[in-house]
Amino acid sequence: MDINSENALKFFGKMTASISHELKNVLAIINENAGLLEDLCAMAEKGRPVDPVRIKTVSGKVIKQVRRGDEIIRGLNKYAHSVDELDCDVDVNDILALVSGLSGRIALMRGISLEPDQIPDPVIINTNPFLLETLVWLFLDFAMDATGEKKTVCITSEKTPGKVVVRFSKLQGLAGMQPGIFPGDSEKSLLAALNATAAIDAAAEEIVISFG
Amino acid sequence: MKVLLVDDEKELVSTLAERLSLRDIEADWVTTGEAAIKSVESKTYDIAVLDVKMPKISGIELKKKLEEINPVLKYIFITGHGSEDDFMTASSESGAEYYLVKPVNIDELIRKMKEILVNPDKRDFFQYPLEG
Repeated sequence: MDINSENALKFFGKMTASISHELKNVLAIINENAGLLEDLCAMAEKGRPVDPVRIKTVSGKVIKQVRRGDEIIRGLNKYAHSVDELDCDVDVNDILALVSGLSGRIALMRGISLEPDQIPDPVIINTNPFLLETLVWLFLDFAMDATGEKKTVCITSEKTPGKVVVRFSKLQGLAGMQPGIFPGDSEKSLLAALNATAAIDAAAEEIVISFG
Repeated sequence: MKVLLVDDEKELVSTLAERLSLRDIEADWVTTGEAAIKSVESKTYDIAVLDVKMPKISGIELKKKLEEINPVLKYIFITGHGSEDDFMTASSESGAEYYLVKPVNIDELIRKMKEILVNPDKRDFFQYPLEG
């Protein structure tokens, strides 16, 4: 297996593990609220009055979790379909939003806030979407280690004549990191496969990937 | 029996606490490790029910901190691990007395709470999964 396939597979495993944990939480909350409804019904059967507002509140919590689960599964479905075509036009904004969404729980566990800054116009490039997602994840993973005290990663895309740029910024901790450790072999291989380059600017607290 | 529930999913712990209170079990809940530490410093609990994966501090790390405050506190871990391998790895790493896999069956949780207070030294890694 080549290094890009290996990294893509690791990325897939990392994301699906995180998503399965999140779905477990959704199910656990639905389970508790369904159980609470059963408890309230049992109380009512024994003659203890139950406030309808209480029932409505509990069912509202179930509905909220169903929506949350639906959103998670929609993201997972979109992610799964990113392997349908190995070379196609993609909106970089969509890729950034998808990877940010998929990584949300991982970021939360690390106490980090992700700020994908969507621009209104699509930023289209012709590429392998799954490898691009893998590259964005590897850079995001590193960026989360480089947030310093801000604990925030801002992710943006820009289109300039002849070039598309993905920027990870607000990385206060970049200055304190050992020079040369990033990008590593995994990132360099993906950058080459996607015809992209990367630059780290510790003074500006940002990492930039350039395509084209 | 006084129980502290710790999970970053507020709607999970708050509802579980309500269901335990309907069964005459005194249950407080918090959503962060820091709040759990404050709770254990200010009140005596018999059992802490800890989520394994929480932001900033894991349930396993939290257990170590709570042990310093209340050495006799007992623990039940709840986990979103989906596979047996994940579960066994987490079990061996934590040294926890009891595990339950989400979604938790409340009757099983209460059974384990009673069991752990009667037989505090027993380790019970493989009581899973539970029907929700």
